[in-house]
Amino acid sequence: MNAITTNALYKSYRARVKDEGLRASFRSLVKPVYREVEAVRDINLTVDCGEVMAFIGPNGAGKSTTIKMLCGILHPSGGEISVLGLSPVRDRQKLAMRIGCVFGQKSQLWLHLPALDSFTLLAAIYGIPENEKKRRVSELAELFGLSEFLRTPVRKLSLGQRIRCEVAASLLHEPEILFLDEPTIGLDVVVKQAIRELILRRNRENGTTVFLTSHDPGDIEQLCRRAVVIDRGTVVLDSPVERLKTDYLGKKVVNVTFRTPQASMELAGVSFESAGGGLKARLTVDTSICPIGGVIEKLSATGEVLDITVNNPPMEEIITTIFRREAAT
Amino acid sequence: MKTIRKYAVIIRVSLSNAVAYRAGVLSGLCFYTVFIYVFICLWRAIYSEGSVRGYSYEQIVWYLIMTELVSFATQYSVYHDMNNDVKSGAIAYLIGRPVHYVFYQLANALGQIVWNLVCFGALAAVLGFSFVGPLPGFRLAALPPLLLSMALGIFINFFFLMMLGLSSFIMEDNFALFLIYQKLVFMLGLFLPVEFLPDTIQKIAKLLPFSYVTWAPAKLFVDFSWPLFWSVVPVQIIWLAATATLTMLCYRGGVKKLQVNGG
Repeated sequence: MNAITTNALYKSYRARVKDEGLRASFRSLVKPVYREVEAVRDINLTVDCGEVMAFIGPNGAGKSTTIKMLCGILHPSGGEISVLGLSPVRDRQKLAMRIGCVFGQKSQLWLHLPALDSFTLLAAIYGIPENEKKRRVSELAELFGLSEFLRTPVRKLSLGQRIRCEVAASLLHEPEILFLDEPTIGLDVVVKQAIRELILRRNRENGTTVFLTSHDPGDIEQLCRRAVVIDRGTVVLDSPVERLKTDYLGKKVVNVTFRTPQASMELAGVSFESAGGGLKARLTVDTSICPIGGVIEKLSATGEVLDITVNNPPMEEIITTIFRREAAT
Repeated sequence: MKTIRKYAVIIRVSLSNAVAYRAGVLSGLCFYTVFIYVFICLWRAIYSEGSVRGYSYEQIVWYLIMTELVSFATQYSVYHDMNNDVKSGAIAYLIGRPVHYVFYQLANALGQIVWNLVCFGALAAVLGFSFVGPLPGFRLAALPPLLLSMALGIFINFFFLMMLGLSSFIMEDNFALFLIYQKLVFMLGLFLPVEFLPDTIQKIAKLLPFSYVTWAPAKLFVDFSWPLFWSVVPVQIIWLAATATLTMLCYRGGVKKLQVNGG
């Protein structure tokens, strides 16, 4: 069964534009100029129940706009949407009972009150009886490890603790679909990993459909089975994450600092860019050709390594590669 | 029943939130005291030569205490909250809930207002009795109609602020509208009784809704009579119905044009 279906989904809005300078400010005051922005253009999408799907793209690609249309927060300018068989525009309140949202950059919790008060409020909003609320809160507190700070005002929590509370708050009414808009933004590696595990567990145990947007390739690699890439409002690629891993996410970026300058390093599947007079280097590694372990061994043999970091390539770089390859085929 | 419980919990959580702002309440109480004291000094100087437009000195002091009580009790501004919600994009959470945004904001405001009324009401009574003693001619029987008029004034104010807040759905900067509204309420009842205005402006003021926020309950408080009650409260009810209807229409129109900022 389909959890989400969109057909030729389209959203445009008017944005005010103004040239630089004082004269332009006055001109804009008398005669404002607007331009039409097409945030989402003809998106056709199907998401199955129980699926964990990544919806990725660079900033301004239309990811958040699409999520907000799927939740009924924004009204589409054209096209059709069906979420759990309901129209988000016409049946927004009915749909709200069956979906949950986490917007990583915004908070749904009351800042000056403990998260427990926000849970009480949400339970009332979703019509959850008191006994059931207690059961669910204790279950989520155990699952997300919230017990020790559940009674602390939210403003005093760390970002990681707050995000755990945010995700738990979105799950309180046991939604069938969870929309996660950059849920791991700004979190450290350990907390990111914890959040990912919790989301996966929820998906496995309750069959919750997860619709995720993120700039972190790690989120996509570890959480999703399918990825839809959008850019400038249109779908560029719809592919299993396994294929994405081999084709695009299989690259790692290694930044290394040497004690003495090193001009180059020859290794199959590795491109070497020297910087800082040879003291620093940036290596792009195709892990399908050369595993990271081999690169580290070779680096150690080349010269004395002072510092080394291994990262995923930035999402923007991945999207550019996808864009180039898709345009070429 | 479930719907009532839903909004009752919102009021309760909002009340807890208001109580959590201890420093905010204390500074508000200090400001209220200074404000009342300064204006009492001003009115004392003006009243050195007798009564003004039918108001005795005691009446004008209690009038001022009453209008400022309504003003300070409703200082929680739904206008600022909504502007922040729209500009920060946090509105996405509130709109995507099985709760009506307008009623959610109303319940949220009520929690704050109830707390403010308790705190500022107690201080208002202390200040009034300390500066001028009991209000001449006040009867306890006048309390229920007075509270009704006060509640109506608070609700009219709420819906006006809500409409101004909703204008942020379509306007980039709506602060000027808020200032205009604030000044109209201030000049047409909050600072001066409407009777102090020139006759023509008085007539216009009584036709407009702004006086019915503070002037109507304060006038009833200092000079209660049933004919006065029947001349102001039905008008308050009409304005409340009009502002509430307009708010709902603005919300319906605005939500279609909503653009959520910040990702």
